Parts: sequence; C-alpha cells; structure tokens
Amino acid sequence: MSHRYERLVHVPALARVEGEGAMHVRVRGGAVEDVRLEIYEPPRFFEAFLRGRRHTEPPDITARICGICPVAYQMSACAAVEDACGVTVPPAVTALRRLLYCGEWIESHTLHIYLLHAPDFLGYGSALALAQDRRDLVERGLSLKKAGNDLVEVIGGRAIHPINVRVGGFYHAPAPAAFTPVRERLRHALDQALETVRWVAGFDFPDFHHDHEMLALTDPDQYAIESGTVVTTGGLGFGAGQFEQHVIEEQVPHSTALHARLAGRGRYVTGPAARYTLNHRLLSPLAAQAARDAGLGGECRNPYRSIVVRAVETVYAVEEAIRLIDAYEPPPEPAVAVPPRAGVGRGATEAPRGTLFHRYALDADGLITSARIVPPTAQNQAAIEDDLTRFVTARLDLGDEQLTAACEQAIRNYDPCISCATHFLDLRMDRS
Amino acid sequence: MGAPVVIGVGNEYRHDDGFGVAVVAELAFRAAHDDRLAGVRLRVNDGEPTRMLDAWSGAGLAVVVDVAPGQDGQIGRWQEVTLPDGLRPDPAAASGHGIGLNATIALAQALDCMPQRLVVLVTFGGCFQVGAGLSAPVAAAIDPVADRICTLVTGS
Repeated sequence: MSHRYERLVHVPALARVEGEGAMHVRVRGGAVEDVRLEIYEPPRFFEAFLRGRRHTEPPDITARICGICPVAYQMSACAAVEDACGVTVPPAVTALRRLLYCGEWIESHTLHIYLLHAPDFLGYGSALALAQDRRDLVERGLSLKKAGNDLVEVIGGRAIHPINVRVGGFYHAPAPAAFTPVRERLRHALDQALETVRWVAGFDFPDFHHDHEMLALTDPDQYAIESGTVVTTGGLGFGAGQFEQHVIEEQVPHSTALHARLAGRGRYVTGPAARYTLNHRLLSPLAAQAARDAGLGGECRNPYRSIVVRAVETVYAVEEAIRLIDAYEPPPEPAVAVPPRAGVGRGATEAPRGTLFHRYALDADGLITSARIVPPTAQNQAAIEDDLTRFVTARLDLGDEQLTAACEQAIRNYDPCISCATHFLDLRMDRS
Repeated sequence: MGAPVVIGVGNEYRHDDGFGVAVVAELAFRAAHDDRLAGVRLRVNDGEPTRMLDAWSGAGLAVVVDVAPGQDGQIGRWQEVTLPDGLRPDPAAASGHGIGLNATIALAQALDCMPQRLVVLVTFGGCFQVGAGLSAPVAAAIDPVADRICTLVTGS
C-alpha cells in the first residue's frame, strides 16, 4: 500500500491473454511513475524467416504466427503479394475470402468474449470457474464459436491454419452444397450472437474513457474486413500503399516489439472499438439495432465496452456469412495466376484485433527480399500503457492483488495477441 | 462410442513444436496400407482449448501427441500418460493460446465432453525458435510414437 516504503508485486503469468508478455508498473510517492508493456522475444523472426522464400509462401508461413487469427495473416499476405505482382482477384474470390474471414471473426470474438473477457466482469477467475457455475453460458459460447470453426473448415480445409488459401485465391472452391450444414448452424448462431449482445450489455463497466486517435480500414459499401482504405478519427485517410509513411514504428528500451505511432501525431488504437467508431453506419440493420439496444452510441471510447462491440461484430459476421453463402456461386476458377515480378507490395485487412499490415519486396524471380508485418497488438501497445497509467493512478488505494487483477482486465480490454506481436507476458508492480 | 481420434498439437514452423503435426502426417501416410488406422480420425491443433474439445468430444479414445521442453539428455525421449488420472488439472493455468492441457481437461470435465479414454504422448524437444524442421532426436521419435498409436487404436 502507499504508506509502505517499497514493495514489489510479481504475477508469474497474465492469464487469459493470447500468448504471453510482461507488464511492469512502478509507483513512487503515490504517483504512477512508469508503466511498461514489456516484450522479451525478438518479434521479427518471421520477417527474417520469409526472406529468400517464394512469393507464394507467405500465406502458409504467416498463418503460423497465430493460431487464433491465421486467416487475417493469410489475407493480408495475399493482398500484399498480389499488390506487388500487379494482380487483382475477381469479385467471386474476394467474396469467398470475406466469407472465410467472417468465420475467423466469429471464432476469435467468441473465444475472447466467453473464455477470456466475460469472467472478468462476472467475478470469476477463469472460464473454467464460469463453466462450473454457469455451464449454459459457456456451452452457448462454444456452440457459437463452433459455427465459426465450421465455416473456416469448409473453406479453409481445416479449422486451424487453413490450407486452402493461396496467392490469387484458393486451391479449391467449395461446392455450394458444402455450405448447407454450416448455414443451418449459422442460422442458430445468429440467435446466440444476439443473446450474447444482450448478455454482455448488462455487465457493469468502469467509467473510463480514452482520447486516443482511432484507426481502422473503411469501405464505402460495407463494413470493412478483407480490404479498405485506412482512416482515423483525426481525419487521416490513406491507402495501404502509404501505411508506412503514416505509421512509424520505433524501438523502445523495454520491449523487443516495436511501438507504432502516427507520424506527427502520436499514439493511436486499432481494433473493434475503432472499427465500430469509424464504420458503425455500415453495419447491417440487425447488428446496428443490437448496438443501439446495447447502449453503444456513435463511438466507443470506453475500452471495457469493447466486449459489447465484439458481440455486435459477431452478430454482423454471422449475418454477413449467411448473406454471402446465400449469394455464393463458385468462381469459374478458384484462383487467378500471380506471376512474379520485381516490386514491392502492401496489403492491409481487419484482423479480429485490428488492422494488420504486410509489406513484401520481391525480386524478378519472385523471391522475397524483405518482409514487414505490423500486427494490431504492437500498434496498440502505447495506448494500452497510457490507459494503464491513468487507470492505476485512479486506483492506487487498491491492494496489490486487486490492482493487479484490475490491470490484467484493463489489458484484456484490447484482446492483445502477444503471440502475434511477440511472446511472453507476466505482470510486475513496484511501489515505493 | 465414437471413432478414435489422434490429435497432433503444435506448430510446424516452430521446429520441435511441430512434432505432433509430423506424427499425424506419418499416420496419414501409414493409413493407406495399415488397416489398424481405418476409421481413425487424424487432426492437427494448436492446443486452443475449444478446438481440442471439438476434436475429442464423443471419441472413445483420444490420443494427444504433444511436445514439451526437455533438458539435455531428455531430447527425443517420450512418455505416455493416461488422463485425467495421470495429470492434476490446474485451473490457474487458464489463458488463451497458453491455456494448458490440464485446464483444457478441467474445462472438458466441467462440460461433460471428455473422451472415454484420453492418452497423451509427450516427447521432449529442445528447439522452439521460428523455423521449419525437427531436431534429429525429436524426428527419430516419430516412428516409435506412431507405432505406439497404432497399437493403442487397435486395442480401443
């Protein structure tokens, strides 16, 4: 407590965050002096690993960065390589990619809502404790998630690290009949998704709001998922080709993951709340109504309410998947040829956790000479640290255990996938 | 009782972490000419708990093939554990990708979706950095582990 001269709280693992990292909070004289989200492992091994590989390989290799959002890595990789090679895929391939991506959004959002985040609001230490008390809730979450799993499996060939994605499209286009069982499951999942919105909207949310600039892709015709132009709440707008001019990554002493900021502006956030704030007018009528009923306004700046946004986006993803299945006609060819050429290509898509940027430089034979991957969690690190500084400052009267748990929840608001940014997370509080 | 399932857990782009995936690939190859594997479901998984539950739910026998960090002298050795008797569930381990097999089993028990029999074959690995290919001692364990699985599914 604050009357003590010095104390150190060490938590060996930050539970229910994808992957692992470390967080250090130092309090001096009753004031928060330093908050650092520390990441130990050199994060760019995959970028080095890609050098010398063929231009056709990034979708398969980068999918292994994350078991929760492999489709996001595949989609951004395809977009970047196709950009480098000057290839545009036909609308039918784009639609199938969007359908696959909907499956991943359903999987990832539902996993976070039910197994990682909801226990915080309900006073349970883990999803297991929640399951022991409220088995019905966890079963609903698992059933909803399975709709996403099944959709990814039908298109991707398997639910984990899909194998049917290739540069230019897919190896095989599913027959329409292959979607019949998953469409039936999605129809039921839509009810479960709407129940989920109503459920999480009833949680108690701490009164906390941030002022970060928010960044997401936008598309004039639909809620951006697999493509779009980058926009921010500060009025910026640019294509993926200009991403590196506007987003500056820099090394910080305490982390081997790079921190991102907007050039000349500073920290920003990406992710569901940013997407919702910038694109909510493009939600389907049903998802928009669910958002209104849940009390979401035109923007979401309370990171705790991100669980509501994820639930609304799950409704949208389920409904969008049904729409895409109903309109589905297999493309005449599952993929277009992507002949290599020397050049640089960039691509950005909306991973469940936010905007995911890839850039590849190719030589004339299609071998990768350099690669760059900017995952959403790395982009959000500075904002998470800023949130925690303000959050901890207002709660210094809490005991170590309570404050540590509160910090963990504050981090989980951003659904950080440290596996994508890097790995390893534990939390230390140092007070004197 | 559902068909046996073999679940290879791991990531083939993390060197020895790809052992489970390699064993499943070996079994898929053998299935073409080994009748003992007829009807056996082969799955790969990154250990994410809900997918593990999906994969083994309803199975009479589930064999999980995984790898664990080992010390010098242990690399390439493997152990067989029948669960849940051989492993103490640890609810505190609950965390996303990082949710351990113990916590996954505890969750499965809470939701009544354990297989009738769960066997885990754990091999000790030494290299988990980014990159493809198993270390030589871990690669040498593929055949004996696959042999053991063929025996296990025969008796299921």
